[in-house]
Amino acid sequence: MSSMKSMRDSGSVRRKLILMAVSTTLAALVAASMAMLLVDLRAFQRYWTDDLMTQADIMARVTAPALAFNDDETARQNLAVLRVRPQILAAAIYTSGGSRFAGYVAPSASGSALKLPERPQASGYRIEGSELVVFRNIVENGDMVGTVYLRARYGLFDRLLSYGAILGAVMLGALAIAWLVASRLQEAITRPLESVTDVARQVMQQRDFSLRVPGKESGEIGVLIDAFNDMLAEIGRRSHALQEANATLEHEMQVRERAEQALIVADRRKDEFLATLAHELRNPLAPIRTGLDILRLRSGDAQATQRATDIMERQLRQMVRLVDDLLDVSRINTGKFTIKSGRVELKAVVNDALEVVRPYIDLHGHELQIDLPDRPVFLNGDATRLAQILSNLLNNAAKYTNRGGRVSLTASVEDRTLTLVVADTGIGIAPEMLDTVFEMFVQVDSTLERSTAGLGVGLSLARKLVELHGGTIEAHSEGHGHGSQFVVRLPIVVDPELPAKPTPASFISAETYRILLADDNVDFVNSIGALLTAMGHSVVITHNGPDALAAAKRFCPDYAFLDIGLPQMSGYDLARGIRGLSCGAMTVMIAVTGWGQEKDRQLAFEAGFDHHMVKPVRFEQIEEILGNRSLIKKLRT
Amino acid sequence: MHRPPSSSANHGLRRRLAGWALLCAAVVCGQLALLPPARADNAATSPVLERRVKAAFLYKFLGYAEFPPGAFADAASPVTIGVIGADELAAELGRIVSGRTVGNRPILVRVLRESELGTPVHLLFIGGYDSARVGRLVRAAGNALLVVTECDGGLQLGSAINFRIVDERVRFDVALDAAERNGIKLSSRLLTVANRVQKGAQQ
Repeated sequence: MSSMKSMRDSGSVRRKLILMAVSTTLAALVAASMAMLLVDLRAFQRYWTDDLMTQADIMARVTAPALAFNDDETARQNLAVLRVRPQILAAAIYTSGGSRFAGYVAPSASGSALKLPERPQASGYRIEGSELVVFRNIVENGDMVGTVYLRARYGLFDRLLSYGAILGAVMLGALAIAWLVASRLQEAITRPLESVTDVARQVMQQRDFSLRVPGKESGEIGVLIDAFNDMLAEIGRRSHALQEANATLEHEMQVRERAEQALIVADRRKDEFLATLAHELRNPLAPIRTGLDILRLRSGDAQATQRATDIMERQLRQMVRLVDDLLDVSRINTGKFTIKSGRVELKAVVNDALEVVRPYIDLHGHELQIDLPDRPVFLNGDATRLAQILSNLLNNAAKYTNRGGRVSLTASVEDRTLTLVVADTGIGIAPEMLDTVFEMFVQVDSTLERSTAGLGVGLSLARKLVELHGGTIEAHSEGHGHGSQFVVRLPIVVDPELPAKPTPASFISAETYRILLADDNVDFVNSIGALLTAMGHSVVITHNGPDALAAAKRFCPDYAFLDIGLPQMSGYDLARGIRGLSCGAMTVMIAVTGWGQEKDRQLAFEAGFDHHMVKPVRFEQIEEILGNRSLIKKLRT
Repeated sequence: MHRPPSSSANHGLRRRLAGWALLCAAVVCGQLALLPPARADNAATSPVLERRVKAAFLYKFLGYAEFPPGAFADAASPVTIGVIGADELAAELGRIVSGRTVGNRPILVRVLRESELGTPVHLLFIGGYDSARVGRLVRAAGNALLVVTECDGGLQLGSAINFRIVDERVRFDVALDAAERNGIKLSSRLLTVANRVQKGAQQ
């Protein structure tokens, strides 16, 4: 339908062009023909009359003697010569007196009603219908001796017809040629137009703006085609830009939907986490309460007391771990999670980790297998965090392995990269979960009914810590029931220090110190004080700032463990006060606080503290600080 | 039919009234002079008419004859027509030629006696039908260039043009050798109307 229409359109242009050329030719030919016809007829008439006049003159000259000598017979014979001119219908000679002297009628006209005029007329020619009449005076020796009369067919009309016929034929031929030439030449216009029309139709049908009108034309058609192509290019560009914008919008929509989905998932996990957290925090309280009851009721039974103390300690450690994890999670979420790098030895890190998880592994009755390199391996990293990585992984392995399983830790060094592999014979990980196990609050089986299901932050923390050390962590599993394997790669191996690191002082000598404790948590400070006193140190316990400062002035302590949040006087002010004392310069001051962020550390060091400990404080940490006394003295002096 | 009498009447009237008027007379007389031959068709038998026709013919012969260059003294010399034995014709001829020219030359008509035959003339008309007399006169007229006679056998007697009456009309025969002997060329147009043309073989 549309192709037919376009054919009709271009055909109409073609027809118009041909019609234009043909009609132009026709107009020119008609004008030229008319002019030629007029000129020719005029010339023809002149020629014809001249011819007849000449004929008359000849006749006059020839018949003059006959007229002069009154010889009408000769005159008739002279006139009879006109037979050779069939177009001359009649002729006559008149005497000067006006009477007819001799006459002649052509054989072709003899039957007609042609009559010779009785009297001559004035010299000249006259056209009578289709006949030409000529009178000529006969002059001999200066005398007018008579008149010649000639009547001839005037072929003007015949001439007009034949000439018109010739012109018409020529005109038809010329028009045919013009039509041929025009239909050949119009292609120069209609072909580019047709190609433009074709491309326009294709563009409309296919919406393909990359189409172009081919060919290189000159003149207005070329300009038209170039403009059309440019327009197509422009439209194509804009439509492309529009599509891209649409795609971008669509993509953004998808991203947002995914983000929304992720938010929903994260929100649900957080809810699950909160529920788990409440459960986890509540769980250790029952055994601790039971332990307290045992202590109160059976304080005399040393074995029972010991068992209760063990239970309570284990549960307490579990709670501390939970709260530590929570704090770490909050640090990760606020982006304030940092590590303090230092030189550590792999065995010490492993020992620290085992110290945390061994009771838990033992509790589950797992077999623990440790395989470390024989020579010492020194690492540049945060000892506490490295230990935390291992303990999290081991704890995780123990947790997801059925009682009596096997948990192994393998360490190897290759090209300054430490590879730690924690494997278990546990329940394994489904392949689709391998990537997500490291995400926050994700647990392999949220329906798992276990006494210590955990918060789902252990692996997430481990990965974060590994990444902070510039390493990677991967999870492998053959599937459910085939155990799992976590591989940690840490590029933090350093050369051993040539002078052997001095062993901590606490393991060499059992020096006793004067120790000042200041904390408003009475139970905590009293229990720590009892322990230190039991180890042989002199201990002064205070519960507020002014008392502590007064005690320090009097007591001149070697160590001062100061709570930052003291009543009446902040720990920072107290520290500055102690440093201001005469004996205060030598005191090793340790800030004990619930705020472990870097800015808290900075504030503490600015106030004069030497160490910064985050609650809850383990006794081992205090022992370690006491063991470094000699180093500090060395630094001070 | 009614013309000839009226013409004759006019003719007579004019001769009396304005015969010598120059221009007017030339036109009128020319017209009159040329008319008679046309009218002669039916009246050739009349002696008067015959004489007038012959006079007109004599004048007209001059227009078809080319004289040799030595025939004239100068460019203005007249053409002389001598007439012998036909005085009335001479008078008629005198009227006809008055005021007329041939080749820009005036025409002079002279009536000659037999004693004057030696007079040089361009055209000599010898009237009379006596062959012996005409023959004698022709032989005597040695200085005449073109001799015209009107007797039977005129050409054999030595004339160049000889009038004849054929079918009651005035006609004439031409002897080319007689004319050429005197260096005269007669126009072929004259020959077309001649009754008979005699070439040189018969002489």
